[in-house]
Amino acid sequence: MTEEQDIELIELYIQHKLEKPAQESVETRLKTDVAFAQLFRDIKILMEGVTAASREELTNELKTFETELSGAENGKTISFPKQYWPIAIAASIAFVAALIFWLKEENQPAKNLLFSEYYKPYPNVIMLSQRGENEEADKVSGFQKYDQGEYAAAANQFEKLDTKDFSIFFYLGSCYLATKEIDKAILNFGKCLETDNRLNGQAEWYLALCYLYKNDIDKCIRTLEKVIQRGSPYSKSATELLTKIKNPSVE
Amino acid sequence: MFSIVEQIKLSGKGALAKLYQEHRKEFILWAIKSHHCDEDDAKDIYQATIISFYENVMSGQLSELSSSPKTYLFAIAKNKIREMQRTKGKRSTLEENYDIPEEMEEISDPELLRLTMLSLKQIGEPCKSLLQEVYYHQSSMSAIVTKLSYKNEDTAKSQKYKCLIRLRKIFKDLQIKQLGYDRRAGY
Repeated sequence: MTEEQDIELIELYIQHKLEKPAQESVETRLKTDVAFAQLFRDIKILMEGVTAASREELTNELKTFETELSGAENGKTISFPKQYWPIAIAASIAFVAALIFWLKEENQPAKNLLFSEYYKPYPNVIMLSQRGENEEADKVSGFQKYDQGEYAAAANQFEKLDTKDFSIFFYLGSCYLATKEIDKAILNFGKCLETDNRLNGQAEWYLALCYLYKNDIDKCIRTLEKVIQRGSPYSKSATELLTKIKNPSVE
Repeated sequence: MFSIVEQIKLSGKGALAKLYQEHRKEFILWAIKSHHCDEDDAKDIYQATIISFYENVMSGQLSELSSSPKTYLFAIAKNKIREMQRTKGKRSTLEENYDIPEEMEEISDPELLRLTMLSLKQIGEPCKSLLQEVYYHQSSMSAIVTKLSYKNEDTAKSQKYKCLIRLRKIFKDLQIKQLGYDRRAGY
């Protein structure tokens, strides 16, 4: 039997999909064939690991979904009768101004909370070949580090590339945002936004988060408005975040 | 009209989101009111329940519902609440109407499991998605061909084998690097 066939057999055994005689034959081999027993243990733990990692990912997706649902419920607006609109508008302008001041000057924890609520590192969606020239090797290594959450090391790899590739600027920005080197993050997201490309929506959203982290609320609001106008997949989150910045009682 | 089980099999997570939303409010209220859970625990249990439902459907353990999805979900949840309360040292005073076995499998050495999860992160795409489709979502090779754009089932199968061998190699390297030795004999 080839190794591939052995693996198939082991998978079926673990999934309880073998008939009794085949099952018994696997059990006999486990007792007598050391290499097979070794392969069995490896495949079993790898299958469990893939399942556990996938379950964790699905749980995180449901948690994000839950946050969105809770946010939508809490974000219900109260409508004013029309005759009170001028007063409401004037009051809300004053309130927003006060709030912006409050966010800027007084409430660092609230701002940090908002940032951590909305910030999630962007996943690596760039597929690379394992082979290639030096530059390609740096890219591969950079993205491997990025996948592992080693953002400082990934940034080092990306910085070695002499490139005008918008995606590298974007991921460099993402690395620096993750390591909280915000000015460098802003610079790189800005470079990504200099050309029209498929990561513009993402770059704009993360740029807004940079400003939020930096406590530059005016720029954060302006950038969030651009995200909304662009109609990117982040529009919904941007609208929600904008509401929370302008109205801290919503939460 | 398709049943929820068929919908999950056909569209996976899309149908799951719909199911999640459909019973969410009622579930949270029920868990808080009848089982004295706090809101965060209620949400965590609901998420774990939905995941169990999904896994039961995808593994083929649940091919048809003899009761409504809501009854099935709440039955799974009762076990999970009981488990949580046991862990927290509380005793459930509620009568059990259902007896569904705990579907979480017993796992191997947690340290090794952590390393396999790390190995999966390191292997990257397209291997990661392919292995997840095979082992977690338990998709058929024909479904994987469509989903991940392989040429045919043979190509997908051979790619899966290569990915598994690569994953095994990463895992072993990590084991030696992080644990300092090969702990295979220990599980």
